[in-house]
Amino acid sequence: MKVEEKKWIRIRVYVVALFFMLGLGTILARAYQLQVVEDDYLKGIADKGIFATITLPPDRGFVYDREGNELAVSIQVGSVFAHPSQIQEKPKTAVKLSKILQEPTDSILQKLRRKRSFVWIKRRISPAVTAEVSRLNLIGVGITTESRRYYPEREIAAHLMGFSGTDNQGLEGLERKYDRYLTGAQHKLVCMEDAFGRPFAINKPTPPEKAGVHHLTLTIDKEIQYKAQQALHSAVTQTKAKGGHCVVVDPKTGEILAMAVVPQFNPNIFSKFRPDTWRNRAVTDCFEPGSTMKAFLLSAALEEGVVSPLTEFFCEEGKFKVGGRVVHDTHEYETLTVADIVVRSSNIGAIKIGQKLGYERFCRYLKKFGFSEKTGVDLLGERAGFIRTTKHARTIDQANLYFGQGMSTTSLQLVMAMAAIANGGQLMRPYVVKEIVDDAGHQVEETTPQVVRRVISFKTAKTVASILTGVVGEEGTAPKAAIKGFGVAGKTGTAQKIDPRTKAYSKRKYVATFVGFTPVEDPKLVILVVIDEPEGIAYGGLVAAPVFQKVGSWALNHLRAAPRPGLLAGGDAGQVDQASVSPKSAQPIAVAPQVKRIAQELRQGVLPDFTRMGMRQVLKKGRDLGLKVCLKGSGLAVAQQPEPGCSLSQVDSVEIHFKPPGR
Amino acid sequence: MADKKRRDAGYDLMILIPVILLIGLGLVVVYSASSNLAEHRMGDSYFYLKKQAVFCAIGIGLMILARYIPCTLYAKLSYPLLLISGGLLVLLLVPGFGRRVGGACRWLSMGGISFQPSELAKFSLAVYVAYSMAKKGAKMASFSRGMLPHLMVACAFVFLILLQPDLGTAVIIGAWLMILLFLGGVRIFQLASLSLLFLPLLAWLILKADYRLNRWMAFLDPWEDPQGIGFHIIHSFLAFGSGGIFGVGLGNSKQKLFYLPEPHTDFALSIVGEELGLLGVGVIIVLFGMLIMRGIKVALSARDLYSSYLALGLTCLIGLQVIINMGVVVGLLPTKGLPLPLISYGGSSLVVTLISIGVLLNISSRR
Repeated sequence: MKVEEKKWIRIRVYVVALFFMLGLGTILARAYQLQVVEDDYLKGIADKGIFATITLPPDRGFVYDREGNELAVSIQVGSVFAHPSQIQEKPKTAVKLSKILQEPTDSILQKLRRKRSFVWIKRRISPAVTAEVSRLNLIGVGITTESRRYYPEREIAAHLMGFSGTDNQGLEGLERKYDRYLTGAQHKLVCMEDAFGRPFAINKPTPPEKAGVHHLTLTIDKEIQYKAQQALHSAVTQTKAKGGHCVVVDPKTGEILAMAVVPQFNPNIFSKFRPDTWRNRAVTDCFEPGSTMKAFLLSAALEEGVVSPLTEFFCEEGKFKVGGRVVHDTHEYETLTVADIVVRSSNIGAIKIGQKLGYERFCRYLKKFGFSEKTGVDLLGERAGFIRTTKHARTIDQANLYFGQGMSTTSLQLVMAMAAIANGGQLMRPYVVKEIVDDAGHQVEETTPQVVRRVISFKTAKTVASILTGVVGEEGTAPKAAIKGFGVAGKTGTAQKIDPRTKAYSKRKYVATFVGFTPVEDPKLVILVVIDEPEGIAYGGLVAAPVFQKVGSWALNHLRAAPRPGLLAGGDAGQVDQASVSPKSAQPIAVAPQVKRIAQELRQGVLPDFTRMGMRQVLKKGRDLGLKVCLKGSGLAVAQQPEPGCSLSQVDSVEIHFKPPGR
Repeated sequence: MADKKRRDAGYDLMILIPVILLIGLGLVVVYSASSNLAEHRMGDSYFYLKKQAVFCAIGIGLMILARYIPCTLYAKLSYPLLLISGGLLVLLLVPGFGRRVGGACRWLSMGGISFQPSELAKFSLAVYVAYSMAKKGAKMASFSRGMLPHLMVACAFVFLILLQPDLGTAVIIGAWLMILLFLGGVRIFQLASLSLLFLPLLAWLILKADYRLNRWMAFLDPWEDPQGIGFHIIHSFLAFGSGGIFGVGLGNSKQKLFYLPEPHTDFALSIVGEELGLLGVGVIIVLFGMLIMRGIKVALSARDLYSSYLALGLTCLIGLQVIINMGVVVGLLPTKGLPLPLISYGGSSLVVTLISIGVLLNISSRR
């Protein structure tokens, strides 16, 4: 009996065959639906689960001072991470790691026990340590390089620079303000991960969403900055003061050459310092300027023509009743000229000048000088300061303002206002970032000097300047500010601080100020020194003026400014301290030839090969060699004239051709 | 019958070629799907491939052996075979003999070799049912003589298998028995009422165990809980979807990287779908289709009723497992722990399937 012979059984077999065919056909149709119809949809979901993006902290651009010295750099350091799921013997691994990393075993073990596919064990450590870790060959422990921000000059310009955080994001200061430029492209590694979150295939980094890092060149001169910080720091320490600022500005451009704040902090280890020490107090903190305001009162009164330098006022023998209160002078004067009122800093005299000028007019001038409005400097957290409007000022308030009490200003406003006098009456906008260049050396942005407004006429400015030179004379309040061989004009201030508890002016807390410029004939530097709450004698002329002198004389020397041998002759700088014309003044004069000789010495040797250097490097190198450098094109150096190797003694200038890289 | 000229038609290439191709493809898929898992679990990426290759060699040897053993021999051995299988299934329940994997006790470990008694049980059931149905012939239409004995034997096996527990194999055996009884001439009315009788039982079994209920819910709407109950089936979908028509290329599957659990066993076809695309899946379906059709053809042209039923039984067993496994991975059926014959990793399944193929070759050669 065979199946084939039975019809009914054959039909049933066919039915079963059909069942299998239909089943397989259905499955194939379903596979078609999954693989062709819903293809994209499913693939999209699958990829989302599989592809993971690892974002590496972006690179950060460098920050240079005006001479090309590095203030902030990014260096490659090692970081140790772990894939906890891959580690079998967690305690053992933790013990081994803790020995090398000098971290407690418990905290490492805790990290290893986390239910995560990836944990950082320790970030940003020295390559030597990571090398040791990699020698252990621990399963599930890996090493990667990251870039770490490093400030080679430590405290120098720290308050300007600010700092950046663990993920290379700018947190404070310029680092934050210019974060957009300094931050490079986020390197995103798209990698595929298995279900344990372990990457198994790393693709090429995605093309960056934005251009690479930019580098900043500041207007800061590292050397002047250093001197300012050093001189300020020692003055603050000596006087046991709470703190202080020193700002150095180029009056002609508004470039900030130095901005020192004490107490200092080291941005490399910023977290070890109190957060309030990070603040750039020169722009973020206001104080009552005191008598330094008399310089601006003088400017306004002369400009308005209400007085002349020789107009005389009776100074009430040191006691003057205004608005029910008695104003005192430190010395009792009878009659003083306007010039003397400023030079000797008579409060009563100032009130008399002010009353003649009028409160409202004086306020107008102060505003023109930039008080009570932000300077617009490219720094974070700038404050505007405050002046009472005429409506809200009682007679005593008005009287106080003429000698700088009852208003507030930042150090930067004050130094810029003085710079306006030094600059022939024109107020400049201060700035810190001189230039932004991209990685290839192309200039992206350049800050140019910007005139805010004319405050007083050139003639008034010159007159005020010549009167202010008297301040550093024997008769003035700040002979200690005089710089040998150079004319100095300036004004002291010793302002009472308001006691926060009593809301009245304190008898012990003062702000000692000196703000001035030098050389008077052709001002190169405006320097402000503020010492906050010095102990003992608090006079600006005794506390702040010596800092001015130190920073000023050092900076002039650094800038190779030629001292005037004929300073004896007097003229507009006639009231200069006698000390400056003493035989000792010959000393700084000798500096210039000396500098020249060093340059000549250096120029012995041969011309280096500049090719493949960036513009900045070329400029720096050329300058170091004392050569005149002529730049053509942009990018990296490709050719030079004369050729490298020829004797430097025959070369005065070198022409260098640049081309953008990668072309 | 005996005086008929014995003729040997040689190897049935229509069976042998699809089988060789499927085994070859199976080895490739097992390696590709398991290498990462093997590396992770065993520290040797070839671990599963090596084992599978050994079983493959054993299976092919036994297949050739079965090809030359007259299939009538099994008929005489059908009761001893049933007893042995049943004994082994009972032995699984004895503590100490069975190897527990993931809450189920399906393997017997003997001298380092694990063996799945349910695979043997399926084979011996096929032999018994073929022998018994051929013997009863026209009496199959009677309930008490045609249906009841087979049903009781099968129920005993199903009961033992459910104790492992292994609902998948139990369901396969149940469905397979229905088909065989249908082929044997049992009335359709009886079959239909029997099915209705067993449906509540099946429902009760599903509701009883949370994981089965979850699988059922996942089948109904896998996207409801993609990270939980739907995880398995969704990653199977994603594998298919990622593959598209031509696949991502051999070895390039992403889902096998621990997303798809057990990619080398039950979900091997998903990896085929991802790496070789619709094309690869199509080829496998066509090869199985050829194999099943040829098995049925062999049954139709077999020289006696017993051989026919045996050929049908074995073909249907393979065919049902193929359809159910594929139906699961493409989401047409709720998840069952069933391997894809000849493709999935798993020694017992491979060896028994190859022996079945050997028997089919034997029947085919004696037309």
